[in-house]
Amino acid sequence: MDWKGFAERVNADRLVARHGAGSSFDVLLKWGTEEHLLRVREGRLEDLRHGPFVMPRCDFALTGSADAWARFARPQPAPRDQDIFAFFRRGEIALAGDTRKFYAHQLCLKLVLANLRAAGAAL
Amino acid sequence: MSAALEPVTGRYVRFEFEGRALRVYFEEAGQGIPLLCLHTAGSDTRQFRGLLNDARVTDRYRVIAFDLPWHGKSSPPEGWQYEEYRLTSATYTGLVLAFMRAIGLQKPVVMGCSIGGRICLNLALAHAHEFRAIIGLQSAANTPRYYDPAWLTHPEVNGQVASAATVMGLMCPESPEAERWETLWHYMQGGPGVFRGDLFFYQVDGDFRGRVKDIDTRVAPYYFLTGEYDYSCSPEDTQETAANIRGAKLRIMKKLGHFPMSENPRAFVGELLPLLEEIAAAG
Repeated sequence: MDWKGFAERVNADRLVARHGAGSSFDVLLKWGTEEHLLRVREGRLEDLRHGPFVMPRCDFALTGSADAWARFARPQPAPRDQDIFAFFRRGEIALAGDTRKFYAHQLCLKLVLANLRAAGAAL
Repeated sequence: MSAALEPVTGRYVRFEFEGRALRVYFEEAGQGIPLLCLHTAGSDTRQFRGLLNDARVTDRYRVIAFDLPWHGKSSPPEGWQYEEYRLTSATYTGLVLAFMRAIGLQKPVVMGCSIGGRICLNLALAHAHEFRAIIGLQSAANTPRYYDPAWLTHPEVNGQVASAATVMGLMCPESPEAERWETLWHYMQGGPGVFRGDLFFYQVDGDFRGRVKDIDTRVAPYYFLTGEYDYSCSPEDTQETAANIRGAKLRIMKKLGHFPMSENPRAFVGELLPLLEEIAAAG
C-alpha cells in the first residue's frame, strides 16, 4: 500500500468534511505485520504514522491480514469486499477497543477508509 | 420553471391489529395485477420510489408499498413511549395480511427486501394461497449475527447516523451516487430504536432454516433475486435457502447490493421485468 497522498486526499474529501464534522478518534490499522495509526480530529486526518509501535495509544483497532486489507483497498473491490463489515462477517478483519467510539464515528471512519482506494470509489 | 407531478399517490389507512389501533401510510401507482412491496429494516416505502415511477412496471401492475408501523410516515401505536419496539415473525406476518385486508387487496404478488425478503419465506410457508406469486429480494432463511445492533441505540451514539453507516457498504459502489445517498437518508430519518427492533426479527426471531423445505411453490411460485454485493444476505445465503425449496427460481443480480430497488432502481427494474412478465403470463 502506497500511503503517499492519502492524508491529502482525506482532507480534500468533501464527504469526510461534511459527515466527519465533530469526529475525533484514533484508529490503529493492523495489516498483517504492518501497523498504521490514524489520528482524526474534527473530521480531519491530523496525523498518520506507520509502525511498528510499542503500546500504541488508540481508541480502537482494526486487525486483518495483509491480503484482506489489500482486497479491501482495491480501487474496484470485488463483490462483498467493499466494506469492513463484510470482512467482520467472514472473520477476516476484527474490531477491538472502544466499540462505542467505533459506532459513534463509523460514518467518518468509513469515508476516511474509502480514500485508501486511489480511484476514489465510494464505500 | 418546469415541474413534474409523479403518478404516485399516498394515503393513510386505519385498522385494528393485535388489539391496537394503527395508522398506516401507503403509496401506490399503476393499474393491473397488485404488487405489494415490503421495505427493509429501519427504512420505509421511499425505497420503492423508482418502481412506483417506472411505467414499464406500472403499465401492467398496481404497485403498492406501505410503511410498517413505527416506520416512515406510519405512526407508532398509542403508548409507544412505554415500550421497546421489537419486530417478530408473527407480528410481521400478521401485519402484512391485516394491511391487505384493510385496503381490500386480494391475491397480490408480494415482493419484500431483506427483512421483507425474510418474511416472504414465512408468507410462503403459512399463507401461500393468499398470493399470486412471491418475490424475495435479498431473501434467506437466516443471517448469522456479525455485529451488535445494541450500539445503534446507545445514548452516546447518534443512532440514525450510525444506522446509515452500518448499511452504507451493503450497496454496490458503482450504483448511482444520488440513489445510494437517498437510500442512506432514509436510514438517517428512522425513529430511535426502530432499525434495532427490526434486526431482532432479522438476527434472532426470524430463523426459518429447517422449515423452508415445506414451501410449496405449486401454490405460489417463489422467486429469489439477490444482489451480488450483499454480504448480509449473500448470494451463498440465498442459494442455500433456495436449494431447499423445490421449484424455487433464483437469479443473482450483477452490480447490485442489499437495496436493489433503491440503490439502482433502473438496473433493478431491468432484472425484475422478466419475472413480472412470467407471473402475468401464468395468469
